[in-house]
Amino acid sequence: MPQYIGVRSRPRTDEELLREPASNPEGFGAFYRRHERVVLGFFVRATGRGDLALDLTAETFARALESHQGFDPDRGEARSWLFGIARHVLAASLARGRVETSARARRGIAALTLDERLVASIEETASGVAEEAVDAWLADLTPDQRVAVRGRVLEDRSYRELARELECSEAVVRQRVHRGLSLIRKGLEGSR
Amino acid sequence: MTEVYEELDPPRALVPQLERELMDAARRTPQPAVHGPRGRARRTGVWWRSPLLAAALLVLAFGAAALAAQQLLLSGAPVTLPRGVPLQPRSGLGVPLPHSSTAILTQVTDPAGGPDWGVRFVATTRGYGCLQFGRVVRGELGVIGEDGSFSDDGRFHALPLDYLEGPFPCAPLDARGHAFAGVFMDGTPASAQVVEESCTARGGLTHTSLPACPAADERLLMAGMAGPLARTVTYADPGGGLHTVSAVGPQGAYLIVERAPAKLGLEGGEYEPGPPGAGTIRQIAYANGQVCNTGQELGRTARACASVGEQPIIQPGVTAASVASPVTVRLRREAVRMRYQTQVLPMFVISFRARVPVTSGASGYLISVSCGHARQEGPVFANVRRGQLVTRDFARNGCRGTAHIRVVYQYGGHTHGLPFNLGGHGLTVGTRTIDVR
Repeated sequence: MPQYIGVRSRPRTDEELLREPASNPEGFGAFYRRHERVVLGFFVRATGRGDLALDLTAETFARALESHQGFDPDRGEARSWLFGIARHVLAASLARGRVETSARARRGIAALTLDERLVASIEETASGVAEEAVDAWLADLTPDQRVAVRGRVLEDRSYRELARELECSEAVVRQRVHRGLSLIRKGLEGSR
Repeated sequence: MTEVYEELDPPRALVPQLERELMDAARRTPQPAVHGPRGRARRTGVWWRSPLLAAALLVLAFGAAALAAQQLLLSGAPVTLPRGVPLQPRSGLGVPLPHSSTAILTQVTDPAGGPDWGVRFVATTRGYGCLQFGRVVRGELGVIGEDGSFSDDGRFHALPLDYLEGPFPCAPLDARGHAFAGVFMDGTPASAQVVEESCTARGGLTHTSLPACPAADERLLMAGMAGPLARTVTYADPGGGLHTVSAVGPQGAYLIVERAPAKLGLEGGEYEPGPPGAGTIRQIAYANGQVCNTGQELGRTARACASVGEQPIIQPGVTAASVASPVTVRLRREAVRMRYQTQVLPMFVISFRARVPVTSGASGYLISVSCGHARQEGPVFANVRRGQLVTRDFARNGCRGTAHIRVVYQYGGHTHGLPFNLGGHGLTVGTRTIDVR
């Protein structure tokens, strides 16, 4: 049974929590607790379903575990790095039409037991942090890019519809999405 | 003794089972895993890729084979305009001017064979110049029924002249009738169906109901108008090899089609419009000896080439005083259709009376709303008569506090390769500040 060694004067950094997970699994557990709600919120926002959000979250943290050595605090916050992974998981899952589970399988993480109460709890809790999740993911973008990426990627709206709403051409919206996603990609290059 | 790090973090996980599984996995996982190779892409059923016909084509000389590919392809119905695209002579891009389109300016071979790709220039009633691209059959530009397009009927479907929205480079024409614009597309399907896509490029996040494009049918495409002085365009292929193609005709049009790289951008089917030189173009050389080195590497935009040879449209007599006009702002709630529901959202309703007319895309009014750190702006996409009352709605987007509204008349600048992205001189029409509770 773990023992507490006292209250620390400052929270452990994400870098410290991610260090040597094989010998410090509790650190990774704390890392999970720290970011769990915001990642779940991101996936609830993207999929509208608590059960899918949980599976996607599990895959995201499994990948984070696999690639923890790729996290470089000099290149940005851990949350941005984690959201980079989350976005890859979401993209791959959408492209294949099923939730990605490859990292979970590699790490031997068992299928999660779900019941209606847990799903409802996830959806309720995550909805409160969804905006924070999205804001964290889009933090590096300009306001124009944020609106375009949010509309296109998270709300799955067409370029034409966004162009009409933003009163600009499809080409301008596409450019904002492209530039926004390129910025996000730069932020997550260290996560691979 | 085991340390537990819980300070300031949630003391309990929302899903403790997952936390436990991850900690167990952490104990077992000292090294990162190596990802496996990508899966093989499916083949399409298009006739020139069938083994029998491919073998037959191999015995023919390349030119004869390409010609045969073009001549044997049956024609289907023309491509229809996307739903909801307005075709108005005096708004948006306008409509094609009669007799303004050119014949196919340049043709390039497709990496997998079949009909060549080509480009065609079209000028519009709002003073835009656009470059359409597609596959070429019997001298016409169009789309092949493959990659899910037109139910994979294998036929050729002509692209109408007024099919201008989407990825085609368009920019306001300068004083001498030249447009400067380019586009880089990563993951374009070989069908050339690029507006209402029939498949999703690898990594694509959207169009989730569509099948993934076969990797072998994805192309890296760069097209543009580099201006009347442009002579050659040098680009890097996905393997890093450098190639040089000619820029042709009065618009300095260029077209490059390669197999898509193994790794596509985040959005898959990336599409970046902008000035000429976007994508993996490394250099544009001009007849006057100028050379533009873009410094770009694959997938990263560096510096696009300036509009060499552009002659800006001069608007004499336009001054701050001649454009100045009061701006009014009202707050209103309006029903806006969202993804899952219609929401009633608070809006800014911004109005002003235009004192200088807008007769083409080379000039226009731009409205911006700033509130805290948020800023949104949008041009008025239409011709405007002198004295016309112009009204536009902007979502309040949670604005609380002081909102600053500004209307600017912009003219006479470089086009930056985008329609409705006005540069050049900006003259303030009027400003307004309101408190939003």
